[in-house]
Amino acid sequence: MADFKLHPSEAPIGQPIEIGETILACIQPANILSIAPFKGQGMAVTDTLKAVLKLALPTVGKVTAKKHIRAMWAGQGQWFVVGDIALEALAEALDTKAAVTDQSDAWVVLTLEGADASEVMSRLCSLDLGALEQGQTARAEFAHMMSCITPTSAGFEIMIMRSFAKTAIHHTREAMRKLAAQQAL
Amino acid sequence: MNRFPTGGLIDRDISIPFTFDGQTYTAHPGDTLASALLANGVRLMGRSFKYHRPRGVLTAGSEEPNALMEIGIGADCTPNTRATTQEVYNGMVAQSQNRFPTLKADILAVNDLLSPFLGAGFYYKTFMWPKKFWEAVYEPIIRRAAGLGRLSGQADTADYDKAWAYCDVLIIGGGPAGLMAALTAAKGGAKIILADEDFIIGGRLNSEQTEVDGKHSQRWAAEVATQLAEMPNVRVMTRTTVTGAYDGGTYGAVERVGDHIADAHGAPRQIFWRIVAKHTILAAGATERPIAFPNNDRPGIMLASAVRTYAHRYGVAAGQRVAVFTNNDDGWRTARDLMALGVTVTGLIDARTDVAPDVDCPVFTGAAVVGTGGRLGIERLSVRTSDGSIQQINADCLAVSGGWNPSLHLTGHMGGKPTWREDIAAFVPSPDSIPNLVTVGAANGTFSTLGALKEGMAAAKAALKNLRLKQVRPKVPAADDAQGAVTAFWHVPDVKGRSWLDFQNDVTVKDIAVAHRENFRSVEHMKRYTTLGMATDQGKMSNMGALAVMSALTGQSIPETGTTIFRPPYTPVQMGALGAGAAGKGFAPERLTTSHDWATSRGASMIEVGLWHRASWFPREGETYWRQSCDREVKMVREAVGVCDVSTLGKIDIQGPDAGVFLDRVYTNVFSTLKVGKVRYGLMLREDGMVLDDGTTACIGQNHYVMTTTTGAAGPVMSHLEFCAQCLWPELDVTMISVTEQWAQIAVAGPKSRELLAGLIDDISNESFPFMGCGAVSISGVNGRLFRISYSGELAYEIAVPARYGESLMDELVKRAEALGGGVYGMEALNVLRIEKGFLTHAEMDGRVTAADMGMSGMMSTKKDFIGKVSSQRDGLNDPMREQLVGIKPTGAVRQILGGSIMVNVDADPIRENMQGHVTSVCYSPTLDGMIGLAFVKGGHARIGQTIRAVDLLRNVDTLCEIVSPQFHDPEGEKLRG
Repeated sequence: MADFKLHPSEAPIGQPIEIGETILACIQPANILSIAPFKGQGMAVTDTLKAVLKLALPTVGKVTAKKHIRAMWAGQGQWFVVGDIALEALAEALDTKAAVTDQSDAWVVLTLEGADASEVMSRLCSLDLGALEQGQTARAEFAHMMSCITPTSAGFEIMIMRSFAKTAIHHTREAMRKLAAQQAL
Repeated sequence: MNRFPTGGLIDRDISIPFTFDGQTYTAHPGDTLASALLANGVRLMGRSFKYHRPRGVLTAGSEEPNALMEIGIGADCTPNTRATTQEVYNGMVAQSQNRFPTLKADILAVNDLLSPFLGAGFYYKTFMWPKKFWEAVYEPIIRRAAGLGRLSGQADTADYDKAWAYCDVLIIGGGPAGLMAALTAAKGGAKIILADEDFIIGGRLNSEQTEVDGKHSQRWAAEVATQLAEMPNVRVMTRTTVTGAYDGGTYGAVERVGDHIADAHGAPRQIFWRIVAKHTILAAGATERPIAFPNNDRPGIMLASAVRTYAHRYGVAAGQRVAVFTNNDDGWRTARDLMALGVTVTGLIDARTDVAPDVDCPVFTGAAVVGTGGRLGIERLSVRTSDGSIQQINADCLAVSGGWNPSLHLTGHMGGKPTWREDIAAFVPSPDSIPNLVTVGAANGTFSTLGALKEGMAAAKAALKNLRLKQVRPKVPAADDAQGAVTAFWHVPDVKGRSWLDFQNDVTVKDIAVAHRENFRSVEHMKRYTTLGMATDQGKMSNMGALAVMSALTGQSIPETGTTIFRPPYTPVQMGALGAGAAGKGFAPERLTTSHDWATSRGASMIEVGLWHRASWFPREGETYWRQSCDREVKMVREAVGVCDVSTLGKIDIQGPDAGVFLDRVYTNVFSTLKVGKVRYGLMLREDGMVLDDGTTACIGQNHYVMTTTTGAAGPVMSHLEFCAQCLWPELDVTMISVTEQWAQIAVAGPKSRELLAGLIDDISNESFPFMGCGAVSISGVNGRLFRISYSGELAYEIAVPARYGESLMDELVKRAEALGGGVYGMEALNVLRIEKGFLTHAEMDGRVTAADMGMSGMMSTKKDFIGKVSSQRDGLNDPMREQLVGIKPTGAVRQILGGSIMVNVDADPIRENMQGHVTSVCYSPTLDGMIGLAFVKGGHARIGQTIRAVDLLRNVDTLCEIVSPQFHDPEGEKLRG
């Protein structure tokens, strides 16, 4: 019936932005699914995930990963599964066990990497990033916007709500620029 | 030039030009503005605040009260900058303050002649008559005269930043105690931050002629600084003032990154830090205090420690013939050091009688300075000797030492009061004033170098133990261990003339006596009455002397008199640093819809709704005024079809076996009976019975709902729901998550909306999608949702697709709408359409209205309990004379109604007592050819058909109106259900 195509918008960052010793990029995962187990269904949900994705639900503040799919704690009673997932199959498997919503378009996933990633983050996030280890994740403010902060091997992953992307990228670039300029003094 | 031939932490090979009051001078790297001016023979550096007395630099540190300068030009000009902390940079422009026309010839020095009338508290006794003169005459004059320093009036273009840092041990101060603490803690493996307000680490080690570990103290300090800089667990922050101590081991600090650089190339000028430390060692040192005597404020009269600092650190002779006035052994050290450098010491005046200084210069014990002379700078002084006779001594510099005040300010930031120590005639911090903070060295009243080193190390070791880190035992280097004797001597008694205590606010010993006489005797009253300690130096030079004077007058001891409360910041902080990143657009994050760029490319004017930016109207060719666009867009929706991005409304996904029960409890009406594929309008109250929000909630599956909220109320409603689920009914099995961002949602409204959508969606019949129906749809292979709901009152739908397709869908829908004679519409038109239908926004639901006020009593279920039900039943909320929602239409000659107008009866005076209500929303209605409005009117439901006036007293508009039903257009809702 429809004689047209809907095309998706472009990612908010095309080529990674490199300033000084940090690189800001947008690494958008294929899917993000939110999972909130119903009462008493925690074990059932984790069993289902193990069966479908070979992943267990992590404990509060943690991340579990298998190949390129991970499960992360995302708030009280809330988890995100992130990666190239067959959404409908997983949603069906979790039917009556958990509340499931597609969050793939709701979040922009940025990465901040490089030798000065921590120093740039300190301008944008009030967490003790030195105490945040790989395998952990935190819900915190990032430049006054709600976010999920997850350390990676090369720096940090920052999930920001889609509508905030432009502001978040602007503030991060500014922090990168100012830090590089300060170091050049 | 007053430079010694060698010595000092300056680079004599490099010359830096700068200007002061238009004249060019040269400085060296390592100079401050104060040291450079002294080196160039400039003693006159400012004029005092009230009396415009000529002033010179008093100190060599951040406690400086006199030498306040404007640094920089234009938008970069920063007033009230201490010349003692401002490093000179190439081409720096400095101006003195508070003088007209010049520093040397300031006409406002006439104030000094009027001083008998301008003493402390004079403004409480004047400017009262005649009453009319206050606003017209006195206030403008005072406003012009008041204040210290001027702002440029231009926006600050500099960049600033804010940052967080965490550490195991924060060491405040890089003098001997701080350096030893840092070294010890760092060797033990602690993560440490060492912060010092100076640009060179070392504190007094850089200002004295003394040895540590067998080498010059300057060299020892430099070596330790280098050692620390190379340790990976150490962060040395110079030019960083810790400004305040706050809860949770958090400290505020200002790092001056670019203030000493001509062009910082985009680096932030300053960074405001929040430093969180597990342990803190306060090693802030001590500041010397002056002695008050008549005319003790002439240029050239300085603290003795400052004279030594200028000599040893900057290689500058503060004078060629120097006299010293002291009550402690530091005065002798000053005389000795100067004579060793070849300066003539014309007199060492020691107030103590029981001493015998072995210094090779004229010595007067049991003596005091009783006066000074010299225009624009000291040339001579009068000394009252022990036998009462007066001696004249020539001097171009008088070094004064009244003892030392430990810099304990930070320890008072949580209300802690210091402890008096008689032996050093000074206050020291009381233990545990700040959790996990210990004070060491001079800040703790331990004035010997060796004592400071030992205390610094001990404190660091204790911190390492607490942190369960390696216990280390570095060697304490050899150092001078003389503590020095002091006898309290605050001001010279029995003298004529004004003895200055607070140099910055021009407060004298006499002013304290006035305060005492007027019965403002507590230190807190004395401070406010005299303004002593209230200037930018926060009383660092004056607090101690003043309370000692008051103590003598009241007969209470000094500890009984006590100190005023110390508050952050320790030194002034620029607003730019505190507001880093928040200027302009930085004030708030922007939330942009998926159609934002599409809209701006079409020339849309944007409006802010909370953090969201929404298109307000879309001007077409030839439209130059917003009303043209708005009116056209409204007609377009009513006659053809309009397309509008409504993604910003909150969408909350609610699931769970108890989701229906949950909704029944938060909404006034029933939702548990809502079938899958149906949408219902819901009203939500607060606990107190007032309306919180309204919206539609759709049942999209078994135990699965999507609730919509007003754009601006999404956050508060979500919080409310979470509170209910977590705190009120934790037994309910229900979860919720925002999906506002997941879905782009677009309204398609108008008689041709079905026709438009039929081209995109397979089955859009009235049977498949009746009014208030919903369901899944596929649009060009993309899974979306369709809701048949209407905010315009026309046949309408809202279509939701994953946000990545929002822009593309918007573009396609608008193309098709335009082909049907319609197009895109914005917020202005949306608002007109809903007012014509009597639909409400938070302009009506302003937190003070009930469901009954809005005519929605019918929505309050009698069959179930819900939040707000009980409170809504209170008598006061059911009074028929409450202000109730009505529509209004102009019926007289005036056709304009203004929003916010008050409602008054036709023959009543438009005064507060006669207010019948107010107008909440107005618009020009193209559909009805005139302005209409929504309003709240007392007993409005029973007054349909009556006339009333809408009066705007600010803009002088008085409109006769008819009270009508708020449903102006299609009251039966036939178009909706078509």
